[in-house]
Amino acid sequence: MNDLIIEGTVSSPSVKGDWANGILHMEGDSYPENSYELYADMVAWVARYLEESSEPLTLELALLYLNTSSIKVMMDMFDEMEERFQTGRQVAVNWYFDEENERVAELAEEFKEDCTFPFNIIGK
Amino acid sequence: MTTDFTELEKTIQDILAKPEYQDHPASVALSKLWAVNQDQWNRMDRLTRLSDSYQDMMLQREKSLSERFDKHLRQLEKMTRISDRYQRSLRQLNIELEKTSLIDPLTELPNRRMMMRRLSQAFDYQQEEDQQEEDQQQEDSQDRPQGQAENHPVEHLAVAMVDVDYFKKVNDEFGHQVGDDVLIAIGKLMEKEIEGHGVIGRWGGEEFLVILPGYKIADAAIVMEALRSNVNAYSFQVDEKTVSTSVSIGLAGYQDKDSMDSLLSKADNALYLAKSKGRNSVVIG
Repeated sequence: MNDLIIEGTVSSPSVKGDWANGILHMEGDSYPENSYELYADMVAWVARYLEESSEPLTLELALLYLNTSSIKVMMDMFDEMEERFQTGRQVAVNWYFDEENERVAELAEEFKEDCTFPFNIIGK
Repeated sequence: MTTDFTELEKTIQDILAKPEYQDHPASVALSKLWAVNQDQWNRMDRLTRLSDSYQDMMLQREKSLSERFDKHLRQLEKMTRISDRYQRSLRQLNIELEKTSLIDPLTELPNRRMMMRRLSQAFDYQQEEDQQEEDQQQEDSQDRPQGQAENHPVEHLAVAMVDVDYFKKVNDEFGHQVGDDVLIAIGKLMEKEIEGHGVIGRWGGEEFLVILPGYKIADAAIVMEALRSNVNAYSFQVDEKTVSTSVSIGLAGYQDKDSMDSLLSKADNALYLAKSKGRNSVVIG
């Protein structure tokens, strides 16, 4: 079984890794006390997907508040995607935000700055 | 004098190649010396190559360390920037939330919670004044001949409970939307009246509370009477109808040992009296 599921809580997002379609979903707030442990499986899933599969990888994100360690996890993941993109791999991020909450879009912009792969910030 | 190694090597190889010298002890020794020399050269060669590759490895390592350092620095800067953004937006949200938790959304006047806070501040100040007064009295009575002690009640805080008369009738006759508009308009009118004297807030329903810090009851009565009279004179146009209304006011002044509850309850009782006496009046409790 290559799919990944991390149940969401008040302080952590729900995470769903769909291996067959190459999609990782994350939705919610992220301010757990143990970000690195909580996300270890997710980071490993992404690394393994990029290593073992040659299909495109898309991150579907609807994240609101991220604490500092969660920001670090996301940046590491985006950096890894960027490295793969530089060697010709197809990767993308779709970051969804509520149009009433422009602040989320501004934050997503910060992440986007360092990425040359398709990074879409989508209001809904 | 410098030695030409190429020439020397050639000379030695020529000697060693000559068959007639092969059994000569000097040729045998020279041949061994030649082998040792070759071995030394090879070893030197290996050492040089090793040293070069080691140097190369260190250069690579330094390069990758510096790349990693740059990457971490970039990440750190970005993280702090994103964190700062989050903190800034949280701070703004907190300010907005605090504001909405203290303001009545309809009239935009301070709400009951805010008024309780204001009253508590006025009370703290009042009680400090009381304490100072008491201390002063004790000092004075020590200086005064016995039997001449005086009691100066401190009365520099007044509160007024204001209720809109027959508000239910406005709602029934014109609808809740008009009722709301009337509350907003009266709120604005009264706020203008109270400005510079104290603070007015919505206490609940059609009831408002006025706090007049530093006001003696007689002065407070003048302010509240003016407010009552102005509300009475004011009328609102709704479609083609005119809505007139009035307010009943219960006024109470702080007296020694009053608590917030007892002061509010005095104002409440006075309001009840104003209502039962036919409304549109100020009653002092």
